[in-house]
Amino acid sequence: MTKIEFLFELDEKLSGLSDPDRQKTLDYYNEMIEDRVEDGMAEADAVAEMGDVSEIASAIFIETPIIRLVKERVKPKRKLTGAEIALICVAFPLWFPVLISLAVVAFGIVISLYAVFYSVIITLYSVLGAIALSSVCSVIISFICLFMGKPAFALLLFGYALIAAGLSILMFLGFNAITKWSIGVNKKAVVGTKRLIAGKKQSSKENMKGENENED
Amino acid sequence: MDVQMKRGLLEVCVLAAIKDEESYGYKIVKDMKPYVDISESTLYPILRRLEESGMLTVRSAEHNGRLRKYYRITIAGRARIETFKKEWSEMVLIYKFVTEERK
Repeated sequence: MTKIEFLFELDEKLSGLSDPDRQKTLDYYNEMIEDRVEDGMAEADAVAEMGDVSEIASAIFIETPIIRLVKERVKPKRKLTGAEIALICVAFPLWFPVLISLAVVAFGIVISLYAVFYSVIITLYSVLGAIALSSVCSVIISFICLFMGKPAFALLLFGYALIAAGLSILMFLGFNAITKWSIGVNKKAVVGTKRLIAGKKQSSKENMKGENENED
Repeated sequence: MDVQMKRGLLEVCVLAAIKDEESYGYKIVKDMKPYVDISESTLYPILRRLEESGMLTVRSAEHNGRLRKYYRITIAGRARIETFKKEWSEMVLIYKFVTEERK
């Protein structure tokens, strides 16, 4: 890949970042590639050493706080006319409560999702704990039965204890795997949400360009 | 190594790379290479974070017809290095304790 191709692709993948943030990133990688070329490396090799464009973009999104991405999304792309500013001020009692309620709802949804997630985890492990405990108790009671001269009962209870123990071991392994997987899903959801917020900037930019051309 | 721990250590390393004189991105990577392998993509957020927390300053200067960013350590950056040195001597004692043979 040439340097220009690399930077162009990186620029695309970083749409959603503010212009200064994006420019700084491109300057950085441009400098890194140029320095290596100056050292004698071939341009294609220097570009290859930078790594995968998607991974670079992902890492940068992860580092950027969500607030910055939301601000950039919400910023007006051209100067507002006096009439538009006045309209926004006048309509304040209309849009402000709506904005607040949307924010509260979004916040509520996020909190509930996390609450559900944690309740499920706690429940799963509680069930596991209960079964493990019942296994232990069964063993104890089965020995008591043995001493009380009731071998049949003792055997029954011991058998149950073994089954319960096996079950709890399997559940333990399963739940650990589920927990790890859901942490991964959680991370992906955060990155995905950031992408979503940053996402459609390219298409709205093109719409703006279209409008300007029509005015000419 | 623990991710958070590595991040903190890399930050100190970058500061150390610029503690004697200002440096630029590629040179920092080269200077660190014999000790720690760091990629550009790892270095970039570290430089950004160090700049945001005031541990280094950035200036652009011309080099061979293009602009290059030079990073210079600040007093806060030097303090961070000193803190690291102090923490490290504590680490050495802990390591001694953990690895000591006790009868």
